[in-house]
Amino acid sequence: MKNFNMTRFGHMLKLDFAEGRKAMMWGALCMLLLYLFFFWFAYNIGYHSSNVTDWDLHIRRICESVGVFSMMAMYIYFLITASTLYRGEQKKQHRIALLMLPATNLEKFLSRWIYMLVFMLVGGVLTIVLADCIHIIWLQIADHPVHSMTKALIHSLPQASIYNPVVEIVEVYIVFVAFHSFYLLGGLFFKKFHFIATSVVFAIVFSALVWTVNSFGYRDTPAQSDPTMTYILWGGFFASITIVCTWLAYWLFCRWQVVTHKFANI
Amino acid sequence: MIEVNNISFSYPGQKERVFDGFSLRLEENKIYGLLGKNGTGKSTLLYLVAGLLRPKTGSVCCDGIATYKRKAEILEEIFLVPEEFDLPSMTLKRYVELNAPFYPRFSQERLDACLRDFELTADLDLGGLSMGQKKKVFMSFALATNTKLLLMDEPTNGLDIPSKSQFRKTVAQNMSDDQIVIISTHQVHDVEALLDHILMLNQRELLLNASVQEIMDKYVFEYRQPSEMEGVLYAEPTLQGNAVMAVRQDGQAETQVNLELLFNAVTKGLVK
Repeated sequence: MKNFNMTRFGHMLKLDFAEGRKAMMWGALCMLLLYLFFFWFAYNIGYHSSNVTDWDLHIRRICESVGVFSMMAMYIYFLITASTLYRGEQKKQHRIALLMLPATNLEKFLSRWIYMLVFMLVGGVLTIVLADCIHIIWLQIADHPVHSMTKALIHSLPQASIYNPVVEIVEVYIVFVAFHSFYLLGGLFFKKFHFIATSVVFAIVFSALVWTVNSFGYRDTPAQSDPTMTYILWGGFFASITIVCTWLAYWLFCRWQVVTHKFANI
Repeated sequence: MIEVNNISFSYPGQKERVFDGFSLRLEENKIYGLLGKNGTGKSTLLYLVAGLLRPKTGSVCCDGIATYKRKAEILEEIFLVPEEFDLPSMTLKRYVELNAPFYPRFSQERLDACLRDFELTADLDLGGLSMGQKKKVFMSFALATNTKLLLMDEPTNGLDIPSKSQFRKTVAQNMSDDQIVIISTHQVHDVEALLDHILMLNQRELLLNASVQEIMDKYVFEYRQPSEMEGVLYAEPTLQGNAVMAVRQDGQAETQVNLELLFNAVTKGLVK
């Protein structure tokens, strides 16, 4: 394909990782500190309450709640990352450097997207595992019953599930990717306050969506009686949002210029 | 070859056009000097040529391909040294390792030679350099990429006095036969000995598009006493007498172009 050269794409990836490595490390460190803070906070509240009789159950509950809060924090952090992926390029000289680099728009866009994905998956998961290891070591030193946050979270998933845990995880993942692409688009469109501005638009769009769905009497449709159909319909809907937002983000990226404009630099 | 065909361009939110029906043709093996007052569109023209701006009408083509499409094969042949730029905090070796593979004709020997000319070593940490040193490194890298089109926006800004003359030597020594160099500047004395062709921009139009040889054939630039002002097109009083631009007479020796005088004469409409 003329628009895509694997060797050049490799060079592009290498460049993105080399230039974004510091930001990636800082992000991972912030997440690690946040997980540890959650754990310290939950543990301290439990420790000072006088009616703890079953420490094993208590520590497991702490792990579960910390896991849930950590996942939420990680999720918000990923959305911030998506919306600030091109923040550096809002500065004219950085935009010139990126646009003048001899690679196609597709290679540049895809490379940055993959860099973010790897950061999210590897960075996010590794940080959770590392935080887990630290608190397991600490629990052993403090002579408390040892529980893993990750394990507690995984065990709690089937209990929280109302249908099929695997299907629900896939569905959550699809929704997650859709939101992510929405924030990526917002990050490219808004020149300042990327995350806040995108969040405001996000709140308006999805409030309107929820209102529309309720207004059209979704509860009475056959989909409501068949959970599989519901998951397929919502999965398809959020997959469409992903495609539209990603395509729009790529379109904006291709039309980027060195202009000073209120919104997207096109 | 670069062809600018009948372009019009205005920045978003601005009614007044920077270019309207503007055309230009740039040929290989030449160093073009792009001169003009502030706000006449010099940097805009460089960005349009580089494909960083999209003309409203008309086209800017490099070897027949529109530059705004930013195709990789075109970008491989264009290097822009903007007036302001940032270099990442890493060693020069690492920077070259990451960026050089994008340029198929990149020459490490040329980079080393340019760095030597600028009295810099190859084991630099880019994060710890002054703005002037960064500019020297970036220009050395630009010359080493060996792209067909090299665009420089105010390249001598921030350079110390010895580096300005070194810049002229380095560009002249490291330019290849198929290359086009466009230098946009206000510091005319820094580059006047280097240029082959002068382009002078005014609002929306090209006031002058002539080779240095054509200018030298037609005019002389010298100092004269007030009693010797015959045939003078434009003059400015200086401590050495009057700096003048006059029509060259038959048999009169060629003189080096004084770009400042030429610029003032052209902008005042005394020379066309």
